[in-house]
Amino acid sequence: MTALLAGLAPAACTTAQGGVAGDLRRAAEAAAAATSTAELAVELLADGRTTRPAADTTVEDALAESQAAEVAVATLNVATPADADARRRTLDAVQRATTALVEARTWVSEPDLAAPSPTARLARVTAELDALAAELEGVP
Amino acid sequence: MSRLLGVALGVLTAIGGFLDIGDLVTNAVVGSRFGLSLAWVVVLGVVGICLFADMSARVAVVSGRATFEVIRERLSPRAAGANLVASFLVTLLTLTAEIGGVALAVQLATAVEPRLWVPLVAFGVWLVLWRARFSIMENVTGLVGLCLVVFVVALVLLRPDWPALGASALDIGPPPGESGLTYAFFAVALFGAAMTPYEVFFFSSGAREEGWTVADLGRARLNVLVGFPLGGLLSLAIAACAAVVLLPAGIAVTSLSQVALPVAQAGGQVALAFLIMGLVAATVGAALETALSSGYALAQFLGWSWGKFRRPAEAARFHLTMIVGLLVAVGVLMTGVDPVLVTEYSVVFSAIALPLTYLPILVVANDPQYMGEHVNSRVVNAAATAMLVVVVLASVAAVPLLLLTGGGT
Repeated sequence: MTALLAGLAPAACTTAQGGVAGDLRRAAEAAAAATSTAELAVELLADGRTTRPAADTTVEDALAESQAAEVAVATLNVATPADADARRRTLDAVQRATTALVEARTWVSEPDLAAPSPTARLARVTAELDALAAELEGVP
Repeated sequence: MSRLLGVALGVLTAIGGFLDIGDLVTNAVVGSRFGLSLAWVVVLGVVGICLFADMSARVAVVSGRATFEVIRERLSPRAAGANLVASFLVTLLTLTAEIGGVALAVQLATAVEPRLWVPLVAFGVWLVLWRARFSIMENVTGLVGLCLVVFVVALVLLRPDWPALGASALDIGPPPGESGLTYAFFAVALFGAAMTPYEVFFFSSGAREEGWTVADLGRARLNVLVGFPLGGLLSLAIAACAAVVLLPAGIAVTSLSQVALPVAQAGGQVALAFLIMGLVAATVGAALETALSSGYALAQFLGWSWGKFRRPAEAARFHLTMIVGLLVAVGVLMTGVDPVLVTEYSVVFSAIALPLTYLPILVVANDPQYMGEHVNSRVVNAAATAMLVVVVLASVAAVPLLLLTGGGT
C-alpha cells in the first residue's frame, strides 16, 4: 500500500494533462460551459419555461464556475513568453465571460423581462471561448 | 386486497427511494460528458445492489442479525473495527452530501443561499428521526420521490432521436475529447453511486425495524427486484436528459441547477415544480436513511440498544450518534464546501468501502449455521461471487483513478 501511494503521489502533484496549454484550454472550456448554461437559463426564463429563482440559481452557479476558471488562469505559472501570451488572452476571454454572466444575473433579477435579453452577448462570448479552446487544443 | 396494496406501496417506495444526491449528480455529470456510453455501469450497479440488498435482508430476517451485528460476529476485532470506521466515515460523508443536496434543491425554489438552509434542513431531519414512525418516514419520502419520474416524462417530451440514443448506450468507451482514465473514473463513481453501502445498512436494519419474518421474504425480494431496476431506469433517464440537452451545448454538469435545465426545457414550470419536489423528497429521504445508518452501524457494532421501534430514551446512544452525525454534517457544510464536490467524493469513497460490508454478508448468506434452508441458491451465489470481483476491482481502482484524473476533471 505504501509503495502504491508513493508511486501515485507524484501523479497527484504533476500538472494535469497537456501542460500550460491544457490547463488554459480546460479553463476556457469551463467558462464556455458556464456561459452556455446561463444562455439556456435566460432563454427558458424569457419563454416562461422556468422560474426566476431557478434561473437565478443557475446563473449564480455559472458565475461561480467562471470565477473559478478565472482564478485558475490567473494563478497559473508560465515559463515562456508564448505561454504568458496564451495566459493573457485566455484571462481576457474568461473575464469577458464573467462580465457577461454578471449582466445576465442582473437581467434575471430584474422585474421587467421586456428589457433586452443578454443571450446574444452570452452566445458571442461562448463562441469566442470555444474558438480559443480549439486553438489551445492544437498547441503542443 | 390490503396485501396487494402493501406490495405496491413497497415497490413504489423502493423506486422513489432509489435515487439520492449521488445518483442525481453522477448520472447528470456522466450524461453531459459521456452521453449514454456508461449506461452499462448503471445496469451493473442495479444488479449489484439487488444482490446485496436481497442477501442482507435475508440474513437480517433469518439470522435475526443486521449487517453490523454480522460483521462484529464474523470478523476479528481489529478487522471489524477497521470496517466500522471506514463504513461509518463514508456514511457520514454521504449524510453531509444529502443535507447539502436538500439545501441546493430548496435553493432552486427560493434562490436563497444554501448555507442558510443547511441548519434548518438538519433540524428538520432530526425532528423526523425523533418523532416520526419508521413506516411513515419511509413511505412519505419514497412516494413523493416518485415525482422524479418527471425525468422520464421530460425525456419523452424532448423527442430525442431514439435509435441514436439507444446506439450510444451500446457504444462503450470514452467519446472524443475524454480520456480512458476519466471514463474509468466515472465508471467507478457511477458504480459507487448505485451501490452505496448505507442503502444496505438501512435495508437490513429496516427489516428488523418493521419486524419482518421469513414469511415476508418474498415481498422483500419483490420490492428489490422490481423497485430497484425501475429506480435504475430513472437514473438512466437523468443521464439521457443531460445527454440530449447539455452534451450538444458543451455543458458539463458541475451544479444541481444544471440538472434542472433539460426538465424545464421539456416540461416548463410544471415539470420544474415536480422536479424540485422530487429532489427535496429524494434527498430528505436519503438524509434520513444515512443518519439512521450511522446510528445503526455504531449501535449494532457496539451492542447498544438501537432502532426507531424503541422510544428515544430506550435507545439514547443510537439517537445521540445520529444527532452528532447531523451536527458534523452541518459543520462541514457551513465551511462553504461545495455540496456537489462532497457528493462526488462520497460516491467514490462508497465504491472504496463497499467490499468491507459486501464480503461478510456474502459469507454469512452462504453459511447454513446462520441461514438454514435460506442459504444462497447456486445461481444467486454465482452472481454474487462474480459481483464480488467487480466490487473489489472498483474499490482497488478508485483511489488511483481519483489521483490520476484529478477527480475526473
